[in-house]
Amino acid sequence: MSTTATDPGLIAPASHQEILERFGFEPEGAGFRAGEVRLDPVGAGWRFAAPWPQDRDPLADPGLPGLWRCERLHDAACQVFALPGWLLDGADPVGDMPDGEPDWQDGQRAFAAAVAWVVATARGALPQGWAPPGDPVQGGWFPAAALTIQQGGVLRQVELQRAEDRFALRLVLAEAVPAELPEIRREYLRRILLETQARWLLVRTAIGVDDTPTAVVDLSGVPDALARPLCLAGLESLRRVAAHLVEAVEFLAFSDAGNEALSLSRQK
Amino acid sequence: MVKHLTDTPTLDIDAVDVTNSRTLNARGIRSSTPVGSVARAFASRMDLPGNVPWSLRNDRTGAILDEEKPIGEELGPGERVVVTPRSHLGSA
Repeated sequence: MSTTATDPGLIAPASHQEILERFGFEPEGAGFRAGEVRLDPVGAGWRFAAPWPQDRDPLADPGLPGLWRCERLHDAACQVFALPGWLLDGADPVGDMPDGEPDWQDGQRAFAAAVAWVVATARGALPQGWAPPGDPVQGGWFPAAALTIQQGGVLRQVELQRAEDRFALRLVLAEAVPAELPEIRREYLRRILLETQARWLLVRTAIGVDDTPTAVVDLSGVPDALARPLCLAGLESLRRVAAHLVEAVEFLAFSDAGNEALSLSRQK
Repeated sequence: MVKHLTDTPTLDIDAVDVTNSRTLNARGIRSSTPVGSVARAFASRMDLPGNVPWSLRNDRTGAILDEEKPIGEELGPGERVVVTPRSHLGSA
């Protein structure tokens, strides 16, 4: 079957294509591909996708640093790394590029740094020479109070994780799910967690080995130019996830009420 | 490979209101959570009036917890708190 590939120049400016080619991406259909990683423009942003490892739980830790999370695309589970368009348009012009790189414009530098981030983390590694940003609170990115989420009876504390190989925001949605939780409740709990990470591009939800449901914005490997805007957007995403999800998670995991209603709902 | 970092310490807190008619057993409160946020959340969970500023009082010592400080610095394990209306009596 012959196909007519869409001119990538209609999708990506020539400068972006040059950047992608330097990282091994080649035009394929409406997007690009480098090995197992496919790149497609989605709205104003970009989405990198690779097959989700077979037999791995979609709510398990993908074992990759960065914004990778499980999402279903065309009825197949994929590991997806999404970059919103606003990020690459408005990034801090003081970016980090290796010596000898062309004098690209600010948006192109941000795009190139982002692609380098994706390519490295797709292999389970961090960009060469990466170090985590300084403490965002001490750096004035946001006040310490922003890490506290209190909405009515919902009370959560976002954990800021900084280590030589890690920079992430972590939100524990609830305590460990009881082992004796009825299957119907566990199924709904998993469903709302998967829907949440499909909706929030920066958020990865999980039920850890200790059965604790969490939401994480993993910015390990993030380029300096993108760290502050992504950290702020990630924190806001977690605040909204908490507002929408915590009470539902607590109801499903710890309440005795509603089993019959859940069963009836599943039968529809 | 991504390291799994140790969780932030947590507290399990038992709380009552001033009438001792409403109780709350809160589990897994992050020690870094500000006291003021804990007080507001507890008041909400207890269906206490939302237009009243609330404080936490250590039931054992009687001390009002500093609302700006992390709960872990103000409260030890196993201690109970009373959710009490905040009253500013003025300085002498």
